[in-house]
Amino acid sequence: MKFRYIAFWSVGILLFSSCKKFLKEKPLTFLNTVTFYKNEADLNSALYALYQAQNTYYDGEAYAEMFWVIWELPSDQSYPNEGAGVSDNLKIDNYNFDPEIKYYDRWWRTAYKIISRSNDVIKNVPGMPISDEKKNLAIAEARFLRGQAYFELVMGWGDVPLVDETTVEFFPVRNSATEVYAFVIEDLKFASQYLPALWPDNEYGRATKFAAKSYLAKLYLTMAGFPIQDQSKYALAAQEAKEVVDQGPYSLYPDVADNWNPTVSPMEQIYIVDKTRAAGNGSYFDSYWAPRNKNELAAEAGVNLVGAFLPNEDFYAEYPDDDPRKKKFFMTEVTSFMDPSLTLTLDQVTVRKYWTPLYSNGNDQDLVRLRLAEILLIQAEAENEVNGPTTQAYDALNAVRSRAYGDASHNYAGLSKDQFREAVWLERALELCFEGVRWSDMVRTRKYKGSSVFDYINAAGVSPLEKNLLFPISTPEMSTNENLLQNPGY
Amino acid sequence: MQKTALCNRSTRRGIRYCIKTPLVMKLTIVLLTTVFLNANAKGVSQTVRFSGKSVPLEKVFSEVEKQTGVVFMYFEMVLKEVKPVSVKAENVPVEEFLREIFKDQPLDYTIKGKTIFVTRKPPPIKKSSQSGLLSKNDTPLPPPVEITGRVVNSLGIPMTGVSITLKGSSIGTFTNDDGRFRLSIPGEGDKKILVFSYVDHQSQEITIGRQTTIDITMEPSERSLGEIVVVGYGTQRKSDLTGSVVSVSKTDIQRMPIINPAMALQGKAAGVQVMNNSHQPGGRVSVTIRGNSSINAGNEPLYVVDGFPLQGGLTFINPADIISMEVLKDASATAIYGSRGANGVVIIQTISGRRGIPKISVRTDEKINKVRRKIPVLNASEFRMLYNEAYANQNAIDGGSRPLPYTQEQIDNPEVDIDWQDEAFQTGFGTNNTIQVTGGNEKTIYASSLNYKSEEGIFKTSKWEQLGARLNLESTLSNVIKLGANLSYNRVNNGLVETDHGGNSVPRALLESMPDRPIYDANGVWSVASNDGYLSPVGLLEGLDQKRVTDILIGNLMLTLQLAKNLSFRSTANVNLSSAKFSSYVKKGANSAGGINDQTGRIVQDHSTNWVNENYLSYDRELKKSTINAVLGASWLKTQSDNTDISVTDIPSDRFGVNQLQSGVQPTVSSAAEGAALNSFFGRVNYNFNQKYLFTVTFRADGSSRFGAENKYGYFPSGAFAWRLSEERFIKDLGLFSNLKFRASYGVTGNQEIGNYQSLDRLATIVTFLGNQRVPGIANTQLPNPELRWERTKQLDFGFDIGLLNDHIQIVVDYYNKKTEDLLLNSPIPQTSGFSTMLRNIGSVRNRGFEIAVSTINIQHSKFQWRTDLNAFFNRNDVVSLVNENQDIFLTSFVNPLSIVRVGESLGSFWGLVREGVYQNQDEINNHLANPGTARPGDLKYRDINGDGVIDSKDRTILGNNNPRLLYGVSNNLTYGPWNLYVQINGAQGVTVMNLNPVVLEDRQTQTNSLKTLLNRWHGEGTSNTIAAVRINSDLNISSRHAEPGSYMRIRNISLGYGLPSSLLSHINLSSATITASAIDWFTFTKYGGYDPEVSTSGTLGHIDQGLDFSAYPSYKSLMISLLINF
Repeated sequence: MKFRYIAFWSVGILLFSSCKKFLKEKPLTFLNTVTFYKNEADLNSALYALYQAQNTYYDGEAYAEMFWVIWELPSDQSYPNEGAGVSDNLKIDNYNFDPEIKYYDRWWRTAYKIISRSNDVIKNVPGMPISDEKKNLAIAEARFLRGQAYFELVMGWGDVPLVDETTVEFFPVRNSATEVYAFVIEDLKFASQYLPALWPDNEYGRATKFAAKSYLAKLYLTMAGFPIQDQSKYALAAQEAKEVVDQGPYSLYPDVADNWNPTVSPMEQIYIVDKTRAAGNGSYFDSYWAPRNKNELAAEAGVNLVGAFLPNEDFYAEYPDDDPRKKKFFMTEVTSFMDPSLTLTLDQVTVRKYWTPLYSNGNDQDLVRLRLAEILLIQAEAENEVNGPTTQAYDALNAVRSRAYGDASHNYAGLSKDQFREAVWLERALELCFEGVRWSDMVRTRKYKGSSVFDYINAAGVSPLEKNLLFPISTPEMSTNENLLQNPGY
Repeated sequence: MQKTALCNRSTRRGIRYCIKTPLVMKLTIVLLTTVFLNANAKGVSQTVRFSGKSVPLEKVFSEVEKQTGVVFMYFEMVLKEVKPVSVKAENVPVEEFLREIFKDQPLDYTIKGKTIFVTRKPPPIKKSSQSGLLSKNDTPLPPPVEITGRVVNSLGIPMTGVSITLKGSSIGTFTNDDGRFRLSIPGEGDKKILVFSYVDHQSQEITIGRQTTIDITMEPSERSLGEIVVVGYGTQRKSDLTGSVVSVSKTDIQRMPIINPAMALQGKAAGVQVMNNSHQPGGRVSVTIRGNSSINAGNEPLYVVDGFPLQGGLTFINPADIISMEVLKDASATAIYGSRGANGVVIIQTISGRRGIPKISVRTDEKINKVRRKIPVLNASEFRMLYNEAYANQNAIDGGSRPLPYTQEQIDNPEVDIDWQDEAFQTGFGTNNTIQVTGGNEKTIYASSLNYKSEEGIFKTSKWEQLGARLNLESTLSNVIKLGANLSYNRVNNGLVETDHGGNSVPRALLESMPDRPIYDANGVWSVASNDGYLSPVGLLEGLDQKRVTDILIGNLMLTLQLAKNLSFRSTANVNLSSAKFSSYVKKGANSAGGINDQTGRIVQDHSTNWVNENYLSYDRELKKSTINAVLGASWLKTQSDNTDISVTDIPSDRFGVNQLQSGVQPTVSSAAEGAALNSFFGRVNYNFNQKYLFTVTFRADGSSRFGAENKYGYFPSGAFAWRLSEERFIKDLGLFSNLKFRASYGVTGNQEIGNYQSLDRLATIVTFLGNQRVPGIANTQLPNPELRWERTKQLDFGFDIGLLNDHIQIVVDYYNKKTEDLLLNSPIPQTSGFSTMLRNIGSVRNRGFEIAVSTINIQHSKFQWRTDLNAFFNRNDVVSLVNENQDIFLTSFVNPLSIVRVGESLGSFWGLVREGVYQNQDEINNHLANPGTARPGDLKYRDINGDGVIDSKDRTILGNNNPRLLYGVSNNLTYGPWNLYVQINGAQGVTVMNLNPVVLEDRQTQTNSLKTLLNRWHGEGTSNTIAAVRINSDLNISSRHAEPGSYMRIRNISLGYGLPSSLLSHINLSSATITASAIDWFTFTKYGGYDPEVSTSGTLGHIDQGLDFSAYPSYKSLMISLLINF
């Protein structure tokens, strides 16, 4: 009987003992906000995460297509290759900016991911037990990335919701483009004030003072054009660009192609996205610009040559034959890196700018976001608008030109203000092609090849419409936030 | 032991039942199994202490049973003429005591183990001396006929203690240990019928003609109302059920050569949809009970094996070890499983031992697998001809001057012409061998089994190899304590073919590889066979070596304490350890431009440890007119798992495969760990009044670690009522129903199958690169949702159980209506938050439907029996509400969004454009309201659904859905003498399958090979109105072309069995031997154009994504020979 009593008690205990701790989740692979932002190491990790978000921006989520599909394909410089089977590419090239196109959704999503992570840093750093100097540095870095993300959003979409570290609204409305620009200017100014001019080599790729200034220069130039048309910004653009050119630790490569050669040290690059080849990180975008399906060129590399994009033949024809960039940026035949005895003649002119040896995990070619040549051309253009074709303007323009030709033989001289402007625009096209700047130039200037109207007609006979000056807000975003108004025409 | 205790109880009720029902003739029998169980429940001693004067013999028996654990077995009338006994015994050995009490009685007795068979002494005139024989006093005039025979169960195992009686008399006997019997029956009179009966088995009536040998097989009774059904935390007699429960018998489970036991439910249980999603051996099977009700929290039922929630997959249970599967469908039956009951519960019991000498049975199956069908694709000439045509068309469109890729000579006489399906398919062989040994003594019973199976798929490297062992023990330690232990171990070695849906998928390469590419190139390595750079299927099969080796060890301990007469306590513990190693190696030369890197090795290791502890009290009380039983308990569950993933490239030699990863470079490593916990309290009360009115009330409180801090516990009540109308006079008087029961139930159950840590904010490590270095970032990757809570399913069920013509016709009908609220949905949120989705409780889904199951005995004759089982299931599913009324949610996409969740429509609705045909000429384009300015004759014409003159995403519409309107199954079982013919058919009606293969294989010419249907493309006015002109640039759209009718009818199994006669077997010392030949899935009737309409290739959402076919692993059909031997 004693036994039964013991049993009874054990039953009672087993049945009804309860323990709150039992149901508490103790994650083994991640932290939460409460346990984070405690020390400098935490802070560094939080900042690295911003670069990770930016890295997927240009690569991860869409392999390497997204950047070019959105910013390059609508331009007059390129078109999607046939047979690549990507109907979104065709739609964009034909100015059917369908809100369902996944790239618009992805770009928007990733931009706000960067913004959200930056906001986390900006919000949490002030409370950390570190010096003010370190706090400002960290906040500057976060504001740089946030500003850059907003800059691209406002260029693409116009009015966008401004979400900062104080925002609690889950369903924000759109702020006007002017407000957004003002916000970005504040971020970039703060960044240019506190960021260092250089980082150690092993942190190359982090935001710098001059990267911030370069973006400011670019932003002011953009604001001076359509649709804001705030001409007063030319002076500011010229000023910021001049400071980068004069004070920044950059110089032009003698050979322009070295900008995309991972084996030479950085010199001209002002801001890049690090595409060091390692699992899942190497750059794949060369494959998207490579000759389509000519896999024998890269057979050992085990990478498919997607060849999704081709240069417009009209644009190719614009290069004078003696412009060395014609051969550096384009190819009509190609020699295999794997087997130098194998040379193939290509059916179509193909972009050579990014053609490098392919490896199974991509290659080490960084994605160059800003380089000195662009800043020089911004300086030339802005200076010309403010003061006419001054020496300073000519120096900037001719620096790019003489580097291209290897000597001063093709330098410009004696142009009127208007001629100078056209010359800069042409130079931007010849120098910066396929770097994702052409479409925003077209939108900004509403000009094409020197004509005075935005009258580009693509190969399929389609022209951009007024609505195409802005991207559509993606269908998923529109349907989850009823407070958003779609851009006109979509 | 849980089962034991309750069987014990039900036995007693069983007796009463027998007395009352004429069905069991004029005898009351105590049946052997239950007797064993009865004995089992008692302590054992070998002496008897008993004193009394003029005590009825029955009372003496019961006292002896109590004291010694022996059991008396007799026919009631045997004791009619006995005298009461007067005896005084103080610790007298049993045998001696028996001699004493039987001394002056007209009775004989025989001791067999713990059973004492009591029979009437043969009349003195007759010299019959057979034990176990029983005859009436009146000596028959003609010489009696002696009938002998043997009774085996459906597995061929001899059955001991089966009662055999002559209908209409008191003549009868039992089978002995070897299942044999011998019975003398009077020679005079008309036709004689022998009745064979045994607990939990169907009684059989055999008309005796001239034969003197009768061998029969007893089938487990799904039909008998006395049948015991395992429910959550207990058992119930089927007649006492208030809920909707279907049982699938052992025989049915074992007819099919299946790896996953869930496949046994296919077409067998109304309300249950079983889909074989991947025909890869051991591939994914999904089971849905009463429709899909969840999007992100899973729709798979809870599997409970031997009382424990299963973790780790059903494939680790050998179907041969299963003795019963019960499907619990309504809330009354599942509410005891609370938060895991919403999708239904499948309860599985494995073998248990029986007292007696060891019984050995051996089963072996040998089979061959062949692909069900080949899909016609273009040959080399056709392919090249169309390739040229695409170029010519493209030139015509844009005025280009691309040279045509092939000359006429190359088209007419291609250098190679490969049928890749022929190259890649093989005839697969399968073998499955099981040895089972069961037995036991008074204290302990055991059942053990060993199993080896191997199954080759129709691709060369796909193979499933499994070794399994099981030992189930149950021991009675004292009259208070019982202990049970189960141990099972399985090892699976699974050779996999690549079915990733990128281009390097074998099933995809199978159809897409170009027919004019050689198998090997000039260097002897596998050639690239598509313009996208992918390898041929042969290259993928030969060049990739992938396998998964899994070890699973499951141990259960069960302790039962009889605390008081009506109260017992049971404590159980279960540990489940699993370890799996996935390895993949790409051989030199098997790199493809499509992204496989050769000489790459990868190993993924997964470990998991799960334990469950459950403690509950059971109270059983029989009152005068009613019975009560109640259960109250608590349960604790914890799971932990971790994994490691390593891969390297450039391994210098193929020689060691993945076993020398250190020789490679660029290592990539990742690891993770997680855990979850569940704590529950539950209770149930069953009240049975007067055998007519049955009530069940169930409650469960579940606490799950997975939910938000504010909603850790969920509460799940249910109630049910059943009315056994057939026990009412006014129904009895109709003389129509042998059984009639009305059931009604309502309850709330939950669903918690979401990932771990979903309610927390998650600052995770994310690696990026700066200065060419890896730097670890940490960022918030998940928005916290402290309010995250259970999905709640409210279910109403009405049902009738009907038995007609003495139960020769049995019908079960159910109507249900279940609504799932607080749907756990990983729903899109404004991305301006920095996140794109968040797991939230939003929306609700309703499933309504009818189920009907009919079982009939068409012919029941000694030589010929024919039974038919039929079931049908009609379900309607609709989404009742979502976040905002007008927000569509797109779950899957392929080229375009593919499946849509929209209020008022079913889950699993397909989404796309409607094709109207092909533009035949320019006029037609001009007349079409929504002609795209760029259209040309030969382009596809789509319907402008919103009439805005443009074909765009707004013109997509619902093209059908993946919920079958009707699911059915029919099986016929015919026995003629030793022959048995079994035919099972199942099918689905009114269902759409999204066949995505033509998106690539019809619309993407020149990039890949195409279906033969492409020959019917448009190539001039009037040539085709279904398939567009071939092009280089194809605009891909999901459309009505791809939404194909997925109805099918399949003859799942035709099998013919032959049982060798016992006269032959006795020479070779076998108890029984049966040979069966079966054709499995041999005939399928469908209009579906892919390999098989029973398909789902989307792995992400499982059930909701049912019916998506993109490069599915082709299905196969099999022929099988089985041999079943009992020693």
